Amino acid sequence: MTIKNTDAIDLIFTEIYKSKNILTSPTSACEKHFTFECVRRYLDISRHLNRRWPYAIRYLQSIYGDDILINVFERFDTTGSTYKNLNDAACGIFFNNTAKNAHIDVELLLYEDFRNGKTGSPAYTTTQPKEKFTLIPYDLDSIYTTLMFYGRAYAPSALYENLILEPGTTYRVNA
Amino acid sequence: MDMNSISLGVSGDINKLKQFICLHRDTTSAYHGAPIKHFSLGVRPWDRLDNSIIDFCATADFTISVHPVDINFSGVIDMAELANLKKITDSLPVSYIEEDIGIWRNGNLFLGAHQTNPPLNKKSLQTTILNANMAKHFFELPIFLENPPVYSELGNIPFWDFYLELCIQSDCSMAFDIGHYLGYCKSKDIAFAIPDAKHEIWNFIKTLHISGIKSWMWNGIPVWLDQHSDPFNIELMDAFKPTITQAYNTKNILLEMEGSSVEVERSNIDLVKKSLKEVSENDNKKH
Repeated sequence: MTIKNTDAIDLIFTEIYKSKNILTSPTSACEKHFTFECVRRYLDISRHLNRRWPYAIRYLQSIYGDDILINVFERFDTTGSTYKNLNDAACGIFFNNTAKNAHIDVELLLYEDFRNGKTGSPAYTTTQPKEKFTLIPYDLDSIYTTLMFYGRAYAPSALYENLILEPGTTYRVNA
Repeated sequence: MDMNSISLGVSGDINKLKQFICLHRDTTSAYHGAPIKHFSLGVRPWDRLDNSIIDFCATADFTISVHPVDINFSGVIDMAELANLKKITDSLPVSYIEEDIGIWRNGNLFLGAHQTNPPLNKKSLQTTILNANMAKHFFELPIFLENPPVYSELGNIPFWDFYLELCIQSDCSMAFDIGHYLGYCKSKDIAFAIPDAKHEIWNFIKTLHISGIKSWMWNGIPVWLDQHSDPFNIELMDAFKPTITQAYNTKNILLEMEGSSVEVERSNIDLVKKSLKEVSENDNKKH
């Protein structure tokens, strides 16, 4: 913690979202309280993400590690300012970060939204639609069922890491 | 002090106000028996009130305050949003505006649980004084500045010195949130302590806020969370009693219970009433 007691609120706000504060062990009571403030916010962001994508998150976290959550936390004070609320900010930053990974990763997020009936999420089907579509070369239903099967039992990371993503044919309908 | 002169209040958004209007005269409602005579309305700049609500409030038998959650009293204030809030406050018989100091917004982002308390230092003090003065004239209403939830505080001015100076320089009152102050005490590793009766701050404290908190030990330090839905606990009520004894200028006690069940609301109201009765009886014995 590098804050001085004369620093302005905006500087403190920025410092709160630095991951070093949650990844290093504080020593003084003052540092511990500041760490708690950072941890509290980190967990709040994580809670928003886990509530929206409870099964896809576990898979992605096992594959890529905690960095996928830390990256959202780190960008919350800057990129977050373009969103309207905490949930939109957490999920929006996470989704855009994931879009930079393998194509299947973001597809799993969209598919989980679809399975949960989230308003505005794209529809998926295994029969070729008449509308414009994107072909996903995976059996998303099987993959997602496995993620639910694992997730409900808090399966160890190794199971996710060793998971072979079932090939197949799924169509995302582009409205 | 005369405990009978203090009214109890509840808070909530527009939907809660609608519910309150229906329930406060219902003889089976916890609000009716209390009685609850004040409502603190949480509004956002884009909220719109139905004409029926506006008409009802114009002749309501309870007082109304407005608690926006978008004014950055310790940062940069968006004047366009302030103007939208004024449209709402102008449409209601608002007694005062109450708002936690600190920052509620980061650009477009409503910070909610990430609302950030100001460091208690000269910079924050000057910014908050300037903004409070501006808002007071803009709204043409009294402003009650609330101490926000504190999990970590890094300034160099003692709590009561900061708020006294803030109230004097801005000519605003203070909404003293007991739970938030308990949090501040934990963040400083000090026991809950309020100034003695002679302290000038009591003259500025016009409303007391009380809401559920969760407290525990974490890595060797006391920590807490602001949980409005939780029942009022012993720690909170133990802090409430000495506070109400000193707060001679307080007009109402606001029970912030957003998200709590009807049972929790009823239990909280009973607890506060019981405490008020105890304080009143002790006061009578002294005299």
